[in-house]
Amino acid sequence: MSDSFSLPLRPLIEKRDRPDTLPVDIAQINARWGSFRDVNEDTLRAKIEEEKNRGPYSDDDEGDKAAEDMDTTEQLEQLYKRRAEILNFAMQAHMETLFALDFVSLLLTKHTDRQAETSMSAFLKQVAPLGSLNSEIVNPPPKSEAVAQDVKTVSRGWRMQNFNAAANKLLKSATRLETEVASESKYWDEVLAVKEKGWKVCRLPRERQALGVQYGFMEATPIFRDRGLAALRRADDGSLILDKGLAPQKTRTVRVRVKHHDKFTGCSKVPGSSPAVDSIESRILQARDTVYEEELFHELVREARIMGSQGVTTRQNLVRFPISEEQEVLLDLVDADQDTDDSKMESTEHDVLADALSHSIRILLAYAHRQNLRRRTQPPPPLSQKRRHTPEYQLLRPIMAYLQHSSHVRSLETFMTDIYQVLQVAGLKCEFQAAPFSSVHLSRVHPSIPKVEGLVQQFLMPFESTFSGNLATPQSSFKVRIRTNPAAPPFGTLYDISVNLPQYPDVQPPSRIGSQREAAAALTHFAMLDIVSAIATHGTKLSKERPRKDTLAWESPFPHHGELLALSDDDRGHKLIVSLSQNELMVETFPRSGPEGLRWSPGDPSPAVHSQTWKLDQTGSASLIDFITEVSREW
Amino acid sequence: MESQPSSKALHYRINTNISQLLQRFENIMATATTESTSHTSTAVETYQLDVESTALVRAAEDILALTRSMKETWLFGNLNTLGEDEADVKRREKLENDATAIQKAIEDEGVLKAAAK
Amino acid sequence: MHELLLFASVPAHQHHELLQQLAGLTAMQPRHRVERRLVFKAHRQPGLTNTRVGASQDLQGAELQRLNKMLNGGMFYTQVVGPVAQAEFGAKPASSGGAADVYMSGMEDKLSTPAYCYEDQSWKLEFRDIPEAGTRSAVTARLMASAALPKGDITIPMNAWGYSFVTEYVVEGDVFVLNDIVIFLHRVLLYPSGAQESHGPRRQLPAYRELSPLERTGSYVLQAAITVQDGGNQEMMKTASQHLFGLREQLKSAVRLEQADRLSLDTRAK
Repeated sequence: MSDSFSLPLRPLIEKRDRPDTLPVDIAQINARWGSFRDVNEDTLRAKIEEEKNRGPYSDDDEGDKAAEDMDTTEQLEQLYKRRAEILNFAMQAHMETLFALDFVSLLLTKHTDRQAETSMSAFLKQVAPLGSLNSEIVNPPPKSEAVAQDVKTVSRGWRMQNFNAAANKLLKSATRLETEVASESKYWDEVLAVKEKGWKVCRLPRERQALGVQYGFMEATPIFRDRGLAALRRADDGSLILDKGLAPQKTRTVRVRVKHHDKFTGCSKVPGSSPAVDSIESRILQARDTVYEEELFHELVREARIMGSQGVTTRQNLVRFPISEEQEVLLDLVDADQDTDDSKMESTEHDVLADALSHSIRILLAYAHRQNLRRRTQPPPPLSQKRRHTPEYQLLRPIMAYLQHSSHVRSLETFMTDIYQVLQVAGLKCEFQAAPFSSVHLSRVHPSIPKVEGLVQQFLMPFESTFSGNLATPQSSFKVRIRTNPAAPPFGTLYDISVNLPQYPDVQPPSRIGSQREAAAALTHFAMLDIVSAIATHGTKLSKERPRKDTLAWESPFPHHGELLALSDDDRGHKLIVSLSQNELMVETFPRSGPEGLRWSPGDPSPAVHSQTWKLDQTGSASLIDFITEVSREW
Repeated sequence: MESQPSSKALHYRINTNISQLLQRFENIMATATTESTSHTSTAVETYQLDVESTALVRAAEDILALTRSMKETWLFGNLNTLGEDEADVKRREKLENDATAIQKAIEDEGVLKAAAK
Repeated sequence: MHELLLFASVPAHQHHELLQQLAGLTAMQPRHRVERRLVFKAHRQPGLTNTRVGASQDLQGAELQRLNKMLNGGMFYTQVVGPVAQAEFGAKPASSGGAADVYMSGMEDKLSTPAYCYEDQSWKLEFRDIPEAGTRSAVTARLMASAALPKGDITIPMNAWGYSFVTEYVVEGDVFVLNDIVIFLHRVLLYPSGAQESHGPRRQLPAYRELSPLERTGSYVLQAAITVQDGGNQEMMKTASQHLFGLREQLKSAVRLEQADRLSLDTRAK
């Protein structure tokens, strides 16, 4: 047990070969029986028998005969006398015992006064103060050599035993302390390693003697903030145990999935469940990540509940929000090691999107934490009975707004590109500029705000993109502002179109357009109006240049229907219809016989109908102006 | 905000423990030298030996406890809450750099504009 | 609004340690704050003092009576507080000799150091009543009110409201926030004496190192304050003082926060 110690704590023992030597035995026999000759089996047996038979009353009754000599009176007298004598003796004995009791009691009061006092006589208590008597051995009679020797031997053995026991005890404790020291230093080494990695090591608030490590987020909601602390306990061998109390040990994470046409087409990366190296640091990291993820999901659900009006729905463990008609995003909290087969991924097409979203919500939560710190360190408002409501963090709203905005801008841009393509194919000189996300001005951030926060801040403000361009007629132009507000009503995306059509100064679009289709329709209409007026202008120009006789002058009494009318020399009416869509521009002319308008007999020879279509991907056809010039000249 | 033991108290504790260790060991040794004259005195001696050895162990344990509390004092003693430490600075700079890179990507390389195409 | 306060004196050598402890306790970095504090004294303006309510007193009731009492009851000292940056001190060349000259406007414009512009100085009026007497709880409680004031030269509007400039000093310190409690570890600095007459607030600030602490030992005052919207709400006041006691308990081993002597905080003008 204690071989590791070289401390000479144990007493040295001279071992004797045998417990008793023969001379000692012989000496004992001699002392008891005398000579060896007298000791044989018979005598020993006889002795044993004798010992057995000897009853308790073996030696008595010698004075029986004397009593017979006396007469009755004498006998009686003697009886009284003896009785008195017995009584006397008894009294005496009683007295003596009481004295002895008093004496011993008094003597004992020196040491244990309470108990001894109870057995003292009242008289003695009065006359002798407690503890006034002590005893000591004065000049003890010299003990005999043998007794002294005996005492010496016994106490020597006894003492030997004591020293042995003490040595054992000390060595045992030493071993215990040595292992304790070893595991303690191991424990502290690990604690120091944790601290040197930059973790905050502290005492546990409720358990002052235990150490803890703080890995959580100071600015999180209190329930999650308080979970960011785990005890650093010491295993028996001194290794560190991260004790998170009742918190689950599993790694959990928020998963983002994209559903396109009811098929899962994207999923964010879920971090591996348990790291390969099971170090204390990795366990702390895992605990930290889990608490962050759980808070993230908690906040997502909290925010989702106020977003019901925007199509966000929540289930027990799922948040679902739409980003366009065919796409929706699902967020749920999953165990990291859980297999994802419960929802088969159809493709990985939108993995990038899902990853981007999952990064975004995490960045936004970190931003919300920073904002909490900012708010917390500002002088608080005066105490009042109104409870301060912690606003929901902006996690879903900004990403929804961004996706929505981006989708609107993208489709409008596609639309604009198409329609301008058509116009250009038709030889109209016009162009547009798109400025997506023109509201994001990163350089405008106030210098006192850290760059990181400034960056995020820009994405929490209403998004705005602008499209502007000129149209076929000079001076005509339009401007579209698309705005999406993530945080405050009115939610959703609004189109704000303004046009400048000199020919139709009173034409203005509706003030609030909410859908992309409407906006596109309005823009198409303006472009069509503009073409109509371009044709009209062209006609006027033509008629100025040339003599009136062979040219038609187009006028547009019903510009909103895309109709132009002209009267040729022979008083025949001509009608020109312009129709514009995203993919094509079509211009048709019809002869118009007199005031009855659009009627012409089906049997009419077709040469009267001229039509030209410009399509998106068409090249090399005549321009619109040329066509007009041509059709105008025909009559 | 825990009150830290003063260095004086720590010194005192160390000294007490050391003298205890010595004293108790001496006491044990001393019992070995006395010649006992009766069984009573030997019994007393036995008891004494038990007390002394327990006290010796206790003193050693207290030294261990002392080192632990000193380690804790070391760990928590010098508060360093003001300003940023090295790790903070590093982290902040890294963040700023990342933010700058993103800003650059958005502003110069037109990440947002390209997204619309 | 009411303000509940506890104070502690912090010797200079403990200052740094306490900063560390407070930073740990509140989990925030200290906010350094330097303030100019101007002391104004109310004076009775002839004609305004004897506003008689007349016969309609009963009808107009308590509201008007209270106003009347406030107007005529006591005259108070009040403070005008303006935040400044430490860099703004000594922003002009150290005025040698001609310290008492008239303010040379535009003089500091040529300097590259951040100039202190008195015209842009923002101000806040801080009114503090004498602490309530005989409160049972062991905190200092007093009526308070704050209001933003126009920028720039503040003496004119203050004079118009019946206040005249008395003196000014500087408060320097660090602010911490712990939930509802604002902790201000500060000390009072005095301007170099004799440099300027006390007719009005200084237009330019002397170099920071020329300021001398009011307390020669350089000791600081720790002030823990909590404001309550409605001083009449006993429950809120109780909550507030309990919060303060909680802080006192937490800081027990570092400093002793206690109630201030009521009369030393008397703001009444006699």
